[in-house]
Amino acid sequence: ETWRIGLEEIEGSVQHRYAERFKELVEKKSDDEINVQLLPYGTWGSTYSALYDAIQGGAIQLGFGSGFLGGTVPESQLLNLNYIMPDDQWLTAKVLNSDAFLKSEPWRQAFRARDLVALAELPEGNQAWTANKAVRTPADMKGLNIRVMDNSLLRATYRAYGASPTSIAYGELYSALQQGQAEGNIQPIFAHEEMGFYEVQDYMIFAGQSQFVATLIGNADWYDGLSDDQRAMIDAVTKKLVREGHDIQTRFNKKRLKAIRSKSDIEIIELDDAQRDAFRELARPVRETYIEEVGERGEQSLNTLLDAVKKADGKQ
Amino acid sequence: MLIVLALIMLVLLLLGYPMMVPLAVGTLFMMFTGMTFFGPDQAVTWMVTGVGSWVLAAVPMFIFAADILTKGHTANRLLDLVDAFSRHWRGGLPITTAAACAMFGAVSGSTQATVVAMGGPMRPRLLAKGYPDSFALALIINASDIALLIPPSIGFIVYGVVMKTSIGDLFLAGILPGILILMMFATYCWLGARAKGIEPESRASWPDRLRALRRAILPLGFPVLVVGGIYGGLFSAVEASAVAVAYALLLEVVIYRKVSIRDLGGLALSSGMITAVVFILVAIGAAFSHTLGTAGVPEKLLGPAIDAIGDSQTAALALIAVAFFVGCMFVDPIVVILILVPIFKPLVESAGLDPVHVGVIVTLQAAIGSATPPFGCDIFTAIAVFRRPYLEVIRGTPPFILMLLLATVVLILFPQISLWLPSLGNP
Amino acid sequence: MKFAIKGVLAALAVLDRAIGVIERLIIGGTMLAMALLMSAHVVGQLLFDRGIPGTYEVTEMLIVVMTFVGVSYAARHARHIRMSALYEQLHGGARKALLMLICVGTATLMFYFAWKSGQYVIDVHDRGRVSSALGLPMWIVYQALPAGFALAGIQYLLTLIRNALSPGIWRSFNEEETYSDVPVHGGEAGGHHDDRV
Ligand code: NA
Ligand code: NA
Repeated sequence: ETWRIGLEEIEGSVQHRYAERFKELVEKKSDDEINVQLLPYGTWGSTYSALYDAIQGGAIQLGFGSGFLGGTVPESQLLNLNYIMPDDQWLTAKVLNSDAFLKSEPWRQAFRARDLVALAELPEGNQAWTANKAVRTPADMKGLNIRVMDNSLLRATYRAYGASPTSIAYGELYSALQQGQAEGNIQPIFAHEEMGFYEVQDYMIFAGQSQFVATLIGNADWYDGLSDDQRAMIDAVTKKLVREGHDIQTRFNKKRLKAIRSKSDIEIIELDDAQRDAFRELARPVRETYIEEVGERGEQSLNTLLDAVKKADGKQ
Repeated sequence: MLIVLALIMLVLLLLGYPMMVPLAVGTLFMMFTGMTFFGPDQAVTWMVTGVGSWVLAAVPMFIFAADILTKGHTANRLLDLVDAFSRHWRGGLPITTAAACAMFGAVSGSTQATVVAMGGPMRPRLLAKGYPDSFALALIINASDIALLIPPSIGFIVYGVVMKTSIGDLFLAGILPGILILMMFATYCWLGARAKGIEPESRASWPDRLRALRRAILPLGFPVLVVGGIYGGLFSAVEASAVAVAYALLLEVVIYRKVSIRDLGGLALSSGMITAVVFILVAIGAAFSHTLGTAGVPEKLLGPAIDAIGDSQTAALALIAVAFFVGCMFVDPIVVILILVPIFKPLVESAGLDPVHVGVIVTLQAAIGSATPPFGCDIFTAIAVFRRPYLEVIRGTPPFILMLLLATVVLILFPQISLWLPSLGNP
Repeated sequence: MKFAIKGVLAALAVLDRAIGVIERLIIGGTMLAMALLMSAHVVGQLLFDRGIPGTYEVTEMLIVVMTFVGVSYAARHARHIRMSALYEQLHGGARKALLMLICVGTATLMFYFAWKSGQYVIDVHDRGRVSSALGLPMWIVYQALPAGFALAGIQYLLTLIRNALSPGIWRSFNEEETYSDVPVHGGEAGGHHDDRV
């Protein structure tokens, strides 16, 4: 039996390392009855929706869906909302993978309705802003032509901060930053490093607004066809990988950030709590935009997540 | 299995099936014989996602802009300008043709449009002057390919995005190689005219030249606007294609009034059809290339070659050039760039090649490919526009292809020719 | 018999013309819409620092529609790229037979893709895939695939019927092959006089 797992990222990425571990564990636990095959970006096509199609259709059983998954599972845009998760990255990983959220009815239904199951959440590290000027307050952000994905929720978020968000295709982004068509950019650290965006930007700002989160999804029919033992095994493996996934992303991002620092003189700004609160306040109304766009199941998912966060924060 | 696949595709190709058929049948063959775990459902997905791409919007836009300019005054004004300065040279008329093609290439992103715009008026004049038709056709087809190297260029845009390389740098890098090839062609034209004893025309007077220059000033604003706008951060390379359409409309509809609003529907239709003819191949080509990839064919074919190359950059470049040259002999250049660039990307990185330089080599091969039998969009455009049979259209091309291959060798050996201009921009 | 054939061809011609008009409107319309949308987006960014939301994905949708409806329109005008060197060497019955073989094969493939992409449209509809910026249902756009492939299949079928029923060689339902050995009369584009005979 072969399980194929489609990655949104190339070899040597966080998703790839996670999937390698997933493969090792599944193959070991199944006594090599199951063979897991990794399909990095490019091997299943080059447009994310081709991957999601393949998973929904069952040609590929498993895969990751992140920022672009919103067209396929609109509720998943929840993970793009700013300032809804704890500042602590490890806590976030735990909350997202807790039964209280991951197995909650609204979140489960959101994926089920699209022939998918959500098996795990993989936070891949904080999203960082880069810009050609220092940004510490919303006033600094005012009118900034910051590039966001062409996505109404992100546009609303950055408009709420006072920026002038602009949409530029990913492939054109480097030269747009270089030529000044865009003045800022939002990416997880590994993307800043991989695509060399930092080469053409002066400041990198950590505001802790959100992490880049990928959801490990499976084809629903395939999942339902598994034996109880196999489903339990997947559960056990993904549980074990919560901690490992967190360690993988921490290690990767540390290394990538170091590479950025050694290869450029980009100035790194870390916002303190008071500075973050200013943005946090402005981001709050965007939750309504999300609810308006995605509907009831989205609202329930948001509330479930917020509850889970509150409980976890309290326990801390 | 691979041999059977190749044979089936080749037979369908030679029988004269539309190009989409061999590509599609090849894809389905791999799927039905289990060479890949993907089935025909995925082929449909790949077709949709292969063509539904923002970057590709530059293709219809540049074709549309060029169609507007061809219908209007711009083409003739550029032609008159070149004519005024070079008609008195020996071989002046063919040199004018080549230079005008390069210049129209600088206002349009499309080689096919250049064939129509410059070849249309120049071919009768070449024939009248005593040049053989096979020479005239070959000159027009090959000189139009310089359009792919002179910015703006659809080829560079598509390459830049697939390779994630600065399109602005690619544009700059194409200029000197384009001029180099133009000079090679001009030399050939001069030698040819001498050999045939064709007399030059009379020299244009300075007032005539100034008048031609003045009339061409607005069309010459094209490259300034498009390339300058990209460099100045006003718009992206893909958006520039829409700016080209807007500027073409401004010139031809508002200022020159040669094209009426009513004409636009027909122009949009014909540009749209040319786009579709290429894009259905892009769509099915995407399905084909992803299927090849999941079937592990590139590794099987390229693996030994890459091992043999080791770390020689020149050998790596030569391999890339050969692959693109062969690919473009059969398939449309845009399709080839979309299919082969991802396959060669790891080689470019591991050999430490400059992706901008590779882009110039690749685009040059794509340009050569457009004019090389058996397939070539310029050949087909020429057949349609000039209504000459296939074999006559291709008869005069060998010397030009030799010159273009020579240019390739020169560029591989002296990368500075392409990299010097972009290096000025990024100190 | 001859009368019946004429009747069949006439009826097909009417239907074909109607479809042709729709195709023309769609292809020309998508091209104009794309030009307008993209230019407006650039102007908006330059003047008001704000482009038009969803420009990227709408442009991508327009390309999809233009491409797949264009497959049929290009078939109608026998404009699909093909390697005709061998074909051009044949004459008379052999040439006609090869052309008809090409029509059968291509029509089959087109109908196969129409069926497959029709299933895809249903899947995308059932799964509720929407575009990521504007939330437009994608199945509406993707209908261009089954429609374009089916109409292209019909074009090749019509060409087959025309060649079977009428004398001469027809590269499409409405266009008889004429030019291959005809003397030149100038390029279409420049409209210049061509003095070669
Ligand atoms: Na050009
Ligand atoms: Na060719």
